[in-house]
Amino acid sequence: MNEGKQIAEDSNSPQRGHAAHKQLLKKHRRSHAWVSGFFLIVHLLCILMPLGIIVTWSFTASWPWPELLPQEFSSRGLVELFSPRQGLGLVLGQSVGIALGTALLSTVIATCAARALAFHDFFGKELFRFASVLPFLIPSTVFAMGIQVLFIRAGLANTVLGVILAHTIVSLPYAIAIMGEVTIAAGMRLEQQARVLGASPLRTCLHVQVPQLLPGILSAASMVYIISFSQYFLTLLIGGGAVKTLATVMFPFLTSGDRTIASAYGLVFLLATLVVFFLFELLLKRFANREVSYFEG
Amino acid sequence: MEMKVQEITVSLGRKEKRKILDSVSFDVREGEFLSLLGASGAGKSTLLKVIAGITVQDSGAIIFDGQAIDDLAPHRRNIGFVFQDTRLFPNMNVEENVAFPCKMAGMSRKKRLDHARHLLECVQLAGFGERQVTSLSGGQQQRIALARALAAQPRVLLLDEPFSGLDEDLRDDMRSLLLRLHRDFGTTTIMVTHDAVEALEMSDRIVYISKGCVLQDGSPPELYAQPQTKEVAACFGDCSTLEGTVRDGVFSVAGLELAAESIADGAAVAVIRYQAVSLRKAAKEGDREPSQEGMAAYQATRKPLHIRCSVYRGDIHLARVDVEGQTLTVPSSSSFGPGMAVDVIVDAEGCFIYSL
Repeated sequence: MNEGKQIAEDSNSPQRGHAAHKQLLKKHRRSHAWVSGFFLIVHLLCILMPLGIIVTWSFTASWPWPELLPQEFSSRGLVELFSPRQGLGLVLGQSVGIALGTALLSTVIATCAARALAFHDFFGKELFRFASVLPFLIPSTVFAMGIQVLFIRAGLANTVLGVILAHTIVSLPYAIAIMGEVTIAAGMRLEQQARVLGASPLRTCLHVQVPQLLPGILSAASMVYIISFSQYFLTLLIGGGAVKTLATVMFPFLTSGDRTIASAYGLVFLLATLVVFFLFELLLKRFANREVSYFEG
Repeated sequence: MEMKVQEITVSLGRKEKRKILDSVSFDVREGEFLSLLGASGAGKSTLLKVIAGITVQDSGAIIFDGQAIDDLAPHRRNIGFVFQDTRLFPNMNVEENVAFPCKMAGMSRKKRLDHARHLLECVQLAGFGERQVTSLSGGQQQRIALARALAAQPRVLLLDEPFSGLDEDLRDDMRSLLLRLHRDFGTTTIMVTHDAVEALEMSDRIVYISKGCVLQDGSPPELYAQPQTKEVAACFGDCSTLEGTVRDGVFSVAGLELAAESIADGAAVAVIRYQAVSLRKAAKEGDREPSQEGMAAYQATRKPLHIRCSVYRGDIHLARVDVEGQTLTVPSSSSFGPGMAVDVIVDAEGCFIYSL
């Protein structure tokens, strides 16, 4: 735009300047299209190509280097995946169950914590704020050890509940970060209004606050879901092999180099995530179909 | 409902406590329309929030019909509250918003939606029930907020600068609508405003609040004709403020002398309303009439003052008269040129003097 202006000022006749300006705009538009095209291609390369390779591998028996295409196809991956020995249904159900449980627990705690941090003054508030991001700073492998010792004593080790609790600890900082922003943006305006119009704290929460925070709640929940769903080390340590999730079952195939089966699991992993996210999206559409505005004066 | 506000004190701030309200007391009579008037930051909105129970006072009491309600949670006080920023619930449509207080009061769905539709008719928004609140204009939203506040037949209606977010031409309509609703419903109403003219037009009584204290409490004519402080006198606008000294019952500054009976000697300030002053061309030396104190209108200048400039304001001109660096603004039908010598005629009725 600036260049166009420059030319318009330089040229003697305003009309000529105008034409030059138009041409420049056209050029800009063309370069915009080129840039966005470039990023689209990079995006496709980064996302779709690995995806394509996973899909291909799950049906491939051998794909030796330096061949560009698989040499032999087989259904071994799928057969193995659905063989009763693997117990795919149970593992999948357990994975989704743990992830949903973690999402629920984490989001509820995060919503309350975010509210406390945003609107209440209490002794040690800054320490609490710092503590809420602490799991960000400590590598999960390090604090997993500590948790394991604690959970063994508490009888939570090797249980689904223990795994859910451990996952909740890792995912809480993310959920609190998201809910913190949303809570501050929502403010106390509508809550105050509901209270003075006769709504008890519980009904205010139900009829006003939850609908207002719903988009944030669902973002936090899906974030936590995906964190929990892809946990490997923590699940292994706390679950002690007794609690099987997709990630823990898939991992040995990856390390042992059985790419066919690992890829088949990868596909299930991907599909399960997609289905759950689709459900989240549906939920959001269903319950927040009316425009929710945080910022309107 | 009768209401008493008794010695309400509120301090806010985390480290340094600042007094927002300092022992504020006044009474509200049954069915009265009372305005809390004052500059922004005077503590008016905080007082409204204390009455609603959103803010808790440090000391003092709010009494509804002889009963202290300080221990009641906001939702048990049965009040209607309209905020400046409307605060309609975006997850409900118009009639659900209006019916919200009835829903909280436990009214059945059909009954409360019928009631909401009736209220929407009262605020001239019949047929808007199914609309989304975000699709409405500012004035419409404010009318819905008003209908919603009245829905559960509140004991008192609290309005926090309800019209300040609206365009000027819309404000007049909203004022008459509110007055009509007040007449029809008879709800005791407290309105916070910084607009003195709005308070004059609408109220049965005005409580003027400044820096957390009540400066004056009276009917609109009382506040207008007998303002007890300089701030109250100046709040109606269109006035000049001059600083000078009082000696022997006469306020003087730069040859301008005003009757100031019963004002103690010393530094003082005069608030002079536009309509209380007029100008005439300075008479020649020797022809000057002595000022006749005690009469309603008198010549206030011992020696001529000079015009600094004149500004056009449609039907009148405003002449700015130089009073030793201070400015006295006088309306006149014709324009006075800069530097012209003039005498000032003052009407005692619109001229108020206070000791500093």
